[in-house]
Amino acid sequence: MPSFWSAFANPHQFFKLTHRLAPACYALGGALILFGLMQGLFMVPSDGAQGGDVMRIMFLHVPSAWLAMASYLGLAIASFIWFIWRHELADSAAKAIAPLGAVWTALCLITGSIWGKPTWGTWWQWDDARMMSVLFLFFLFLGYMALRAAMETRQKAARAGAILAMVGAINVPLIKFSVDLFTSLHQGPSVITADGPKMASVYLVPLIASAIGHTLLFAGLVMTRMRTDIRERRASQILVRQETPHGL
Amino acid sequence: MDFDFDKNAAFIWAAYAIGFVMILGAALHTLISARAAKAKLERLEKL
Repeated sequence: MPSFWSAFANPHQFFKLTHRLAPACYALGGALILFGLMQGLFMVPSDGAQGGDVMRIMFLHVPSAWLAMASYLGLAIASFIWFIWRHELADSAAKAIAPLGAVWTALCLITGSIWGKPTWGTWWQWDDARMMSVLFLFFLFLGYMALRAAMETRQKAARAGAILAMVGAINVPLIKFSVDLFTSLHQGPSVITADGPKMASVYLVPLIASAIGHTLLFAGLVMTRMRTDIRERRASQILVRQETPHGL
Repeated sequence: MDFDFDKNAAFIWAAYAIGFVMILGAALHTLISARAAKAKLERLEKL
């Protein structure tokens, strides 16, 4: 009996597994996002120390920030797996993650900017370490997609993209520790700290629910994009076979 | 439920509206591409 993990190695088994897993991720992810949204927007008390009601943007901004970093790490890990073992599903995963990672990183930047204006009096600060490192992350996602698109063959695209993705992974810990190491308007960590979360549970519960919801939705979309990639490659193979004269 | 936000209500609604559009756009693009790829492969496999 094939193991659960072997489904991520075999395209046929991957298809069978994700046929049900992707919709389940959409359903559960959507429900958790909705829960986080309702709680964050309408139920939790506003926090005067955090600027009043504007802190409610946190329930969208923070999950998108976490997912921006996590998705890039996912891209880097998938690229590493492809680079070492030349596993095609790993390349499909990397190709699927990049555009979605770019979307969530852009969402982090935009919501952060909107939150920043009433809080700090500015939409953007070019010498802010946190803002610039996340902007760089966004450019890394775009650069990865552009680099792949510029290559003549899939193999070359996978190889070039994998190298960029792995090298760019250094940016993720830079983002995480930027507020501690460099000048930043951004507040320090309040959830993942050495002494545990500093946030009250009334805010922490919807925040974590929202983050899990976004992650599940993201995972479902990645699986769907991988299925699309596998189908497109199969279609290409059929077309090549049709165009190749018999005996050649 | 408290629907009454303070003076920064416009910022809150703008952030969530943009978030909704972006996530919905990503999801729709993914699902439409998936459907098109599936239809194309089924057509080719029938030939």
